[in-house]
Amino acid sequence: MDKQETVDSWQMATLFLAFMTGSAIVNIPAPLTAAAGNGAWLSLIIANGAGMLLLACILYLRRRYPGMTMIDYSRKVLGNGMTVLLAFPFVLTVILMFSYIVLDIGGFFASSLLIQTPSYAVHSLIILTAALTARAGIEAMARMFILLLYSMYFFIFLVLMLVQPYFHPEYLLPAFPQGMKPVIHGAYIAFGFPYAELILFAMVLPFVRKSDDNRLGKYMFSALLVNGLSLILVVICSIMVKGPLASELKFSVFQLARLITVQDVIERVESIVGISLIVGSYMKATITLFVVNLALSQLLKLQDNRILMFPLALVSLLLTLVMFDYEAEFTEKVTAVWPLITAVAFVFPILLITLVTVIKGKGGNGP
Amino acid sequence: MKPDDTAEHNVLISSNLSDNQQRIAKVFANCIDIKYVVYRYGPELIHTALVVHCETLTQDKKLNYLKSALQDLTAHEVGAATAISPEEVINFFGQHGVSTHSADIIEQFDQAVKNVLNGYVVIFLDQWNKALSFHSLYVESRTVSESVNEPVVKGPHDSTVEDLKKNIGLLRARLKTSDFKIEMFIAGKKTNAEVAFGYLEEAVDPEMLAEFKRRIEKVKKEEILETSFIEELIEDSTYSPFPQYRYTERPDVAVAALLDGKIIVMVSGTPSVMICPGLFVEFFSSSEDYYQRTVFASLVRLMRLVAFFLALALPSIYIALSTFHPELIPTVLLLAIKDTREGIPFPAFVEALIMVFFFEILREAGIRLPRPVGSAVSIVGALVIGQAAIQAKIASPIMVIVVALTGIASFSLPQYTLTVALRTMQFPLMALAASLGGFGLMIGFLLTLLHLTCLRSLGQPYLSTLAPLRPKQLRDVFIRAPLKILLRSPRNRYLHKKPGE
Repeated sequence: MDKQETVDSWQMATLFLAFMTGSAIVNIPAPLTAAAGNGAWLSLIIANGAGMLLLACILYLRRRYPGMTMIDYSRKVLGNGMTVLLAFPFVLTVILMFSYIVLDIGGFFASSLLIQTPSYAVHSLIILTAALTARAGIEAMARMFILLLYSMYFFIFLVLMLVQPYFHPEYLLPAFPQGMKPVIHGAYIAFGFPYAELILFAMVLPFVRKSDDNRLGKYMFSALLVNGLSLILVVICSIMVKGPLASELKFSVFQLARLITVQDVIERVESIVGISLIVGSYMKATITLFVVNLALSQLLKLQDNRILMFPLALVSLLLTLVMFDYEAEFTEKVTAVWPLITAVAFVFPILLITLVTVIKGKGGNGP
Repeated sequence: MKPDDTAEHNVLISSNLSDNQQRIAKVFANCIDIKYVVYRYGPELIHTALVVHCETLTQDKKLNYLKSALQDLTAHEVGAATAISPEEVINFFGQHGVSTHSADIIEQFDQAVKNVLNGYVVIFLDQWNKALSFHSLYVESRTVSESVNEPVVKGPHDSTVEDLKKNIGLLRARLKTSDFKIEMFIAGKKTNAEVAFGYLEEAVDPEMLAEFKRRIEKVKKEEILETSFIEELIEDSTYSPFPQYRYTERPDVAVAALLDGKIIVMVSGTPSVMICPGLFVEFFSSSEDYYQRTVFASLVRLMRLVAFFLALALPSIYIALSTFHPELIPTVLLLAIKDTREGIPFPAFVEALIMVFFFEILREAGIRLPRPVGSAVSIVGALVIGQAAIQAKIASPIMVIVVALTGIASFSLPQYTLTVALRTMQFPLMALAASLGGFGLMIGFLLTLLHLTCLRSLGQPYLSTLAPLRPKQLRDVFIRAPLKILLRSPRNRYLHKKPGE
């Protein structure tokens, strides 16, 4: 693979944090509280723990196969035929994932800021921007996303601080009104979105500079931890503000921003906040598109690994336009079906490769 | 290249004076400003010497050039012209060389021609296959005066002029070290412009310097009239609206850039000094930031940053707010805006387009008009863009405020080239804001940011210190840290780099 472009481990961790937090911070609180109620934070901790295990997996594989992407080492470990068999659903799912993120952005605008604008206008512009960014390469992405991520976090914390007068800590109790079952259900949802998706980074990790290897693990785990903490913070805040209503309203942080009033001058700032949150989704979409393009190029052994970018973007655009007729359909897909799809398409191959590697490694080291 | 040129190339000076005379007269046919003076000397005045010079370039002194040449025979008393034989002269110059600092001996004929054109006085002697040449260039040029384009309150006031030698002198006087290197080459076949580039060894990044030298190679064939020609020839992206190199006409700014590890380029005949690479954040700093007290300088920096965003996006933000997100405007203000817009036939976008366009025309007219008529523009401009436009219901007062503020904000940026970039970017942003509101603005900003991240100046990332983010170097971006901290790094960062770092 073409290794001209490299990023350092701090940038990689930032990309990772942007990817994990990006659209999750807007979308996860509502379905999660719907499933797990007040125990949503515990679901997140469980899912985050599972995410740590997966991250450990891909970091282990990266150490065993330095400079290789998931497709590369899958070929080495499982052979070409098996790789195609496993990569086919992987690529399809990532395309699906990209379309979902774009649909989500479109849904956000359709329901809040640009109610009369047709969805194809929003979708095509977002996809065009994402495709141009992904085409610019991982270096440009890493540089750009650091600035965007910091500004996104700035706005999130600003909202959480300004919305403080509306906090009702008593809404947090009882913590587990219906026992542990809903919490497990919540963990299942949160595992599918966003934690199982971190497998995509098995494709991106080889871009880290060789000289900067040793700190990568530390940074990546810290990024995942920061991601978990910020999601938990947002979930807790939205429960504290809205109580039982938290599960009813989509786009929690955005809804929180609606409540802000400072001296009659700063009010209804949700458009500004909403836009900065959408930037998070855009970052995630870009990384996803980058991964699917890279995976497909490597699978087809293409020389020019950017040639597929725009065709893939176009396919996704069409998908976003025809996939769902109603928003409820989409929501159901994401909460109920998505964890299952990711488990099959993302988690299963990586676990298989890890298992084979471990067994082979043991065999190799034996007498 | 014409066959004529090749014929002249590498021709040695003949020892026959009349051959030389014919040849040089042929080269300078129809050039009225080339003067030939023939002197006779030697016993019984049988020997001749030919003095050629370009009278429009040389010092206008009534001087016997041959005599001054012969003054070089310091070992001898220069006696009467009859007492000197050509053998003596040739021997002396052949063996001792010349002692006057601005004189030298040339052997090539085309070198002689070149020297005449560069303001030298060239002297041919008969029976000698060499020629003497004396530097005596004198072209009227401005004296060093106050900087017109970059005035400051505090700090040195001198500025560079059209004379390259003087400019280098101004820099050298401030940078008295042998590490300050200046290299020079002649560009073009006709203008023969002198192009000089300087750098501070140990401060400059050697890789960057090598890259610069590789790019400057292709400049050598072109006719260079201004430093900006070089910019366009060596820059990374020609179609980007953003300037990738900085200009200054202040020697102190140039020296600060040299200390910072930059390469500077100067061209004879123009006062502008190009500083490369120019990074985005540097366009926000002015030399005065370092002369003012740190708190004030930092506040000014922040103000410029706000001014940058106003100049870039204020009209488009106004359009987006008033057409798509009126709820963001406080109610009372919103009512006031709606009230003043009463009776205006255009949507906010068209209104803004008209007013910004008016303003651009005025700005251009203000620059190009002859100075005596200049004040007429400001009077008419104030009327057109101000009161009359409001009364004629073409624009609302708030739009006039928006456009005026945008203009003022763009003037408050220290680098004119960045202002030009912002003026270009305004219009697409306005169109995006008018069609998609805040979302359009977001797309516009993202694409701009993407472009800036991908942009490189002389191979260096343009958004450097912001992206890739180097938090420790941010002390000279949004704020100007106290010099106590600043002078250790990032200025002089290569100088202070420890080995192995």
